[in-house]
Amino acid sequence: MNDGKDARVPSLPSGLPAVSTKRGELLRWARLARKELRETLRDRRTIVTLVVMPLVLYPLVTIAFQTYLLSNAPRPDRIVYHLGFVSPEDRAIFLNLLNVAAQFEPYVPEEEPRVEQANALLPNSTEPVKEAIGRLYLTEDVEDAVQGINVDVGVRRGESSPQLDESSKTIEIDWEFIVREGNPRGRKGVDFLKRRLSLANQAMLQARLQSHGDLQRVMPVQSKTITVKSEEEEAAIPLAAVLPLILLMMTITGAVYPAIDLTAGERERGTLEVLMAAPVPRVRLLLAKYSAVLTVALLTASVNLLMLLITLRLSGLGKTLLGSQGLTGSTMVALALSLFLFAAFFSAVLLAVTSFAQSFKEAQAHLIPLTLAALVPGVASMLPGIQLKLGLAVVPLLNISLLVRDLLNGAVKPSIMAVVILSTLLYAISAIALAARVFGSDQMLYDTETRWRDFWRRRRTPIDAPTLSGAMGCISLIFPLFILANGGIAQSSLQAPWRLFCAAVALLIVFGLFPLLAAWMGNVTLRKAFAWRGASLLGFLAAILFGLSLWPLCHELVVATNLLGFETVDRSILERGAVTVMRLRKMPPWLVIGALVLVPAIAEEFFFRGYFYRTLEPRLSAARTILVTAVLFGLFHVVSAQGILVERLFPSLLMGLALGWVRYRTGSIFPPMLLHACHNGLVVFLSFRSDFLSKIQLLTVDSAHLPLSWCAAAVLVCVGAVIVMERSRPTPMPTECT
Amino acid sequence: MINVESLSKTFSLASGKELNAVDGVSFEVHAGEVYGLLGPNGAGKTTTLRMLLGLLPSSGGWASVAGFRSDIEPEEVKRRVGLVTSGTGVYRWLSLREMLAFFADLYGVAPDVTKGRIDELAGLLGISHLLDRSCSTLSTGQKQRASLARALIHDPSVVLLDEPTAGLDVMGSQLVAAFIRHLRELGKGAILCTHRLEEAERLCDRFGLMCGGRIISEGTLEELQARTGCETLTDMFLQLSGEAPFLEPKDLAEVKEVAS
Repeated sequence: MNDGKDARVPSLPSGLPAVSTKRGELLRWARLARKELRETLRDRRTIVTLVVMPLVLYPLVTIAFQTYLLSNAPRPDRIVYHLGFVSPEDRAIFLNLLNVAAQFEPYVPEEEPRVEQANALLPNSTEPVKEAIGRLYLTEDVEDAVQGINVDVGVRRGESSPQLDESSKTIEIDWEFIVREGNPRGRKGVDFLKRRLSLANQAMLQARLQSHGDLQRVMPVQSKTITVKSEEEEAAIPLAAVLPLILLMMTITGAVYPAIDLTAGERERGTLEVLMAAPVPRVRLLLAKYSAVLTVALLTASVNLLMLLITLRLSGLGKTLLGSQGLTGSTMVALALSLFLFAAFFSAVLLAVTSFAQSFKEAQAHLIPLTLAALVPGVASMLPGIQLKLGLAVVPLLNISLLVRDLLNGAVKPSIMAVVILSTLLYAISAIALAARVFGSDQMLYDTETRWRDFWRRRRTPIDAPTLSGAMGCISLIFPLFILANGGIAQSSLQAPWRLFCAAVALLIVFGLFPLLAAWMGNVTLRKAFAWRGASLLGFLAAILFGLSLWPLCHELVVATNLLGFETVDRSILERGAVTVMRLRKMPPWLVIGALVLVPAIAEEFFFRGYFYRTLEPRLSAARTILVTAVLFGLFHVVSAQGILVERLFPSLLMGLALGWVRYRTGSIFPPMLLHACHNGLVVFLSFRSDFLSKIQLLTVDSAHLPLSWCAAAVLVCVGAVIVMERSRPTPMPTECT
Repeated sequence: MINVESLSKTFSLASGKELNAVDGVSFEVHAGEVYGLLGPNGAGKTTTLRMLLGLLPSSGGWASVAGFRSDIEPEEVKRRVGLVTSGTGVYRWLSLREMLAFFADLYGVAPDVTKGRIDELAGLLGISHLLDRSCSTLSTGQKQRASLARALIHDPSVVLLDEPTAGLDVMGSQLVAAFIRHLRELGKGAILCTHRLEEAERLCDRFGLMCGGRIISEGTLEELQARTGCETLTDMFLQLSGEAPFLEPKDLAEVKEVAS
């Protein structure tokens, strides 16, 4: 039977010119994406969610807010009281007394009308009095007057009110307040008047004491309560709590329909099979679809943001909701960037979920729980006490919700923001990879009883290298777990040796167990997935030389990073580091060597130069494979229990490059492990012996730099390592990829 | 050009049982030859085509097109194959020209060639006047012509036709027949899956009669006639499969009794 490999032809069999250059491929992908977008934007339903809904929604939201603000507007806590007097004289005296509370200026009315507005009679009085006293009635029978609705409090002088002598400043008056039983306004009015008279008494006594040269105040011991309003409470409704949630939900709304139409819709309209019959990798088709969904989501986010801006400006709600600045440019940019990040993530998740559906109806059913799940973190971010820390920065959706909130409050750490962005993008890539695994797969094409679990089963046929989707899924699990484990162990109340032990176990699980499980699930030949193969002695020798010589260069890179202004390690961390070294010295050597030298070397190499390197190896050139693994290696080392340590990026990158190159040259995982162990071992040794090194003046404490001779020696040994490695037998790399 | 060797497909059913949809099928198709893969519904024809194209993994055996195995290099196989199915799905928000250009892009046809290719195929299939119309306005017959144009847009060396006349009227079926003859003239290898045996008789050079996932007989019409002693493919098929051809008048009477 002809299995005819010799019959292969590089171009299309008919001789039709084919797109072959990289630029041509890129343009082709752009055309595929444009088709998806064109198809989506021509659909009226997209336009409705894109334009019409924001046009309707935001005015409605404004009305709702205004109604809410009005109903919750601060009510005057001073009720206007209407008073009744039996004589103009009483009225004048009483009002004078109220004025006394502020100043000693008697008021003499020119006329004596029957009903008078208090404000006219209290020209010099303080605001509380002016606001609290309404109309003043003259009536012969105040007891009768308070029975009606006009007079709240009747005021008259008591029977024993003998004196009001201005000249001698002797005042003795008994006032009677008459209120109707069961009238709360009357009772409150009496309380108010009593308070004012008490103030008047104090003012008069104060004046009397001062006139006698006595500086003692009337009330020797006083107290007052001060209520401090928080800044957040200044706005009746914090914008960070409500508006981002609306914006997030609207962005989802915009992306939902295109996501369904471009995935489940393909099957429903009968185009899926012919699409799958085309020689385009599913991931590329998915990327074209993703770009269309993302574009619509971004357009929706932009239109919504614009409508929000216009509505807030026109309604004047901006300042009410956001404080005196209103919606500033920086707030807009922060909101836009957060929405774009959210759109990038959620579009990918939508595609992954809708790819599982066989029809529009099924896709909608799948999306209902997803949308509800998206609401939870949005609402959770409104709750007080939830702070965006390293742990929550890797929780999908919640991290973006909290980021938006904190961006609006202007209280986000750049390092935490970087973790949020990185983890979110990682999740987005994983979701696309999952969608590519599901969309158009034979189960979805032909199996009407496809279930989610069908896609979590172990692959049947063995392959030589992990799939991209498998690797992305593995990294998406490893990244948050690594951060959570780091943070959890650092904050635990465990004793230092146990903490070290747990850290080592966590490292073994995260970088050892998970890649192993991922490789097993993907049915990747383990020996190939992790490059378990021997290497030449020269290869091992070069690895040892690298391991012993790279640390001075790494140290200088840390110093250089600090000089460039990226000093994220503050003094407290350094002090803690010194304490940690002190503690390490007291621990059993096997634990220190195991946890800091052997386990990191084995586990990290198992993943970075094993599983991840092998994933990229058949797909990228050697240089790119080394670079990408080194960048990922660097990024993982930037995250520590203390937060983001930028200083560690470049040394880790250098180490990653060296380790990757050794892996490339030897084709084995073991020399990189040896290199890693030598490096870590030497660093631990130097940390333990820093006092000894200082004594022999090899390590100067005052200078951050190492002696020049050390650096020169390190470079020489590195060059030697390169020469040794070049002399070793290069290992041909397998290029096949399934 | 097309080699199929001991190809098998077993589906696991929800009940836990297994179904052998295709059971050790082998055949070859040469350039310029139209091979009729014939059989009743459920015979395994479509499953065979799907495995041949790399859309469905096989449970055993292999298939290759121009030397490329569909289980190892499915993209190379897909690059060389045009697929026509009974479904006439189209992108309703695109014009016919845009849809054909999209598929040309999918198959990697250079953009400067695409326009001429679309015009050429549209002229051949009589849909030039429809090119700028929205796909949603096309009739079933027009959609099928669009599908034929789509299958040839990258000028494949092999065309797989899976029930291409299903749901078509006489005129539509005639057009498909003309299209298949055209393929033969172009020297392309073609597999026609159909259960319309009289139609296959007119169009195919060789036949593989499938039943229960197996090819029960294979050859040219003359070879099959000599082997079975039957004149038509319908008679041959009935004889080889051993199934009752149709209900006898007495059976019909029984059916009526049951119905009443």
